[in-house]
Amino acid sequence: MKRVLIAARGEIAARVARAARELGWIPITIYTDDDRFSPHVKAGLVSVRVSSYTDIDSIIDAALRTDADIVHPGYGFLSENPDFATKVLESGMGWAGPSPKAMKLLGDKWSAKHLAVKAGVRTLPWCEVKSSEEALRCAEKLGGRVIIKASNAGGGRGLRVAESPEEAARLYSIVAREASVGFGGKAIVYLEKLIDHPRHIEVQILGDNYGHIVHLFERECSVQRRKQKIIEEAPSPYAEKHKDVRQVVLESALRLAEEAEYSNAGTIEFIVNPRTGEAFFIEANTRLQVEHGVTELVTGIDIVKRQLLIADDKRLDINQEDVRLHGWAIEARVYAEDPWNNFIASTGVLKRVRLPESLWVRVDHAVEEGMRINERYDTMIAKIIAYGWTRSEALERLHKALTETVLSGVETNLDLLRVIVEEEWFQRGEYNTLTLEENLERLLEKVDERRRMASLMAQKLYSNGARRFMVKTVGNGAGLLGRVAVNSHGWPWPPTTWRGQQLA
Amino acid sequence: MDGRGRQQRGEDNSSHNVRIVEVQHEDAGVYTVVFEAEDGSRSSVRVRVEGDIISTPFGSYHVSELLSASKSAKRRRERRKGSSISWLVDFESGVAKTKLSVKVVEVYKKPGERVEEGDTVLVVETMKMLNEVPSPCSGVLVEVAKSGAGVPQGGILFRVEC
Repeated sequence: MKRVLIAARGEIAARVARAARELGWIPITIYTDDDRFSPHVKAGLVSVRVSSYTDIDSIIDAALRTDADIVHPGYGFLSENPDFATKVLESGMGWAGPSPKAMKLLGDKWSAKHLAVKAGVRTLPWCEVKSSEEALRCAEKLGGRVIIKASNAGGGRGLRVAESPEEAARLYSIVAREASVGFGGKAIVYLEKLIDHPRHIEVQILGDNYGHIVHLFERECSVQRRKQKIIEEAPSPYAEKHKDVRQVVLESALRLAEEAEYSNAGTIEFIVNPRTGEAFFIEANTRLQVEHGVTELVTGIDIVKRQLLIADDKRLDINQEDVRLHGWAIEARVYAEDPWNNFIASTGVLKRVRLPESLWVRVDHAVEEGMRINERYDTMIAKIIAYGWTRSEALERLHKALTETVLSGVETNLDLLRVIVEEEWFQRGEYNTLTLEENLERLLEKVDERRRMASLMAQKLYSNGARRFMVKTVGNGAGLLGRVAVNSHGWPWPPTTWRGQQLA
Repeated sequence: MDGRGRQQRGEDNSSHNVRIVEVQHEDAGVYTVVFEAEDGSRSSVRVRVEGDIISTPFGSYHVSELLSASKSAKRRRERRKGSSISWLVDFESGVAKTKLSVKVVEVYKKPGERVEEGDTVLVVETMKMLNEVPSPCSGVLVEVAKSGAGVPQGGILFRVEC
């Protein structure tokens, strides 16, 4: 029986804990002072207080105190930190991720780019720059719009788009400064050609410590808002139509992973020019990804469980020919952010939570009624993943699942997700990474109108009828304040019409 | 409507307003609500009241978020005029106030200098991100925070005489 320390919080900590329990292992979770009432804490058999989710020493100490055999980093926080991985391995524990060497090689955008060139994988045209003048010349050489990147960029930092060479020169100084402010240490800044209206397709990789690497087909994550993924699906509608593109990305991803001697789960990301079908490697994520669930559904392979087994030095029990695509899966991410206020993180207490329940819908979440959403952490609070034999079936199921979902108390993007799924471009699978932003204003207006209709109905229905059946409670009654009592056999009982009363 | 059949004048009346003309009670908790748009077109929506949740064909809502909706509706209107930096900076008659505590990283303009609308006045850092703050209008820069200074929440970044 192994003991797994999960160095993450929220939905992914609960997900990893489940995989550990399924193996008969013992999950151990961690929490910080301001997060100790979060549901993920209870997912572990024991839970240990740490000073911060990013404090390496505190987490290593927690792992040693609880006698952990394996550390799983989830995503975010320290999951892509080679120093943390090194410390875990040095402390004699297993690491549910790639080797620190592979992490350094692929995690850094700059070295990953060089590795791709070595492996014969196509990347975007680029040049390294050290000054504003160089940036100007480079942008002129590349032509068109360019992107200015720091090698350690991430989460929207250290990354800017320039329309003209002059702008590139100006933005260079900001990126260079951002790279040194945010991350510490020296970073290489480089310019890259920008592909207009690209699609984002990525390949899931799984490898063991004995050099056996397989791919689990691709995912498409082109529905984004400012690089933040909103909806993902597997397989990619584009790759399904253009089988040659699929072939290229899958082969490139495997070549790159082999070149890096990659082990455990990882993702190789590509951007595809939908007009020419050219696929360019952009970066690799040396960790489990948020959207791993869609791949799990269409391939039937439990990625997290394999991660734990690989960390235990087991051989991967899957051959490439065993991996097949079955059906279609689409994931919608619910964020606790306010679409009306530039998507700023929204905080509050979840007053009411109703998640969809269906055979074909998987909900990964760590929310519960009465829980406070803390703005200090990730704003993604739930992932709703629908499965179907065809894409249209999965879409229909996702739409119904989103319609049933209620998450009140904080502002969420739930309404926005509902209208995106109804959009024609989404239904046809013809979208790129900018489609959502281009349509955002119109979609928000649509949401607005529906919200207005819903609140009109609520005012009408709840002021005349249902209010009369509010529950009277003992104590201060805070827990039931505003609740309406309902039973499955139908409340009010007896029906109001029996009593000769009219509602509304 | 103000209850006496008169159309209310006020900011809540946006151009594409809908109103409820009829509510039919079909079954326990099931209603058909008929809406009329301003152009006179009618549409009906079948809703289910499940306790404190109202289920419509386009989404389920908790009643509390709908009944307190007037507040959010107001914010929604504000959004329309907000610029891309409005999550961080408040512009009020030429004064840029920060909504979060920030650090000024670089200042491009000097006091007394002329600025055009949209010109970047300074760059601030918050949450490890750098943000360019543009001038809200064309005018003369009266005062501006110093480079390297920390500005607390609600503090003034710069003032432009428009």
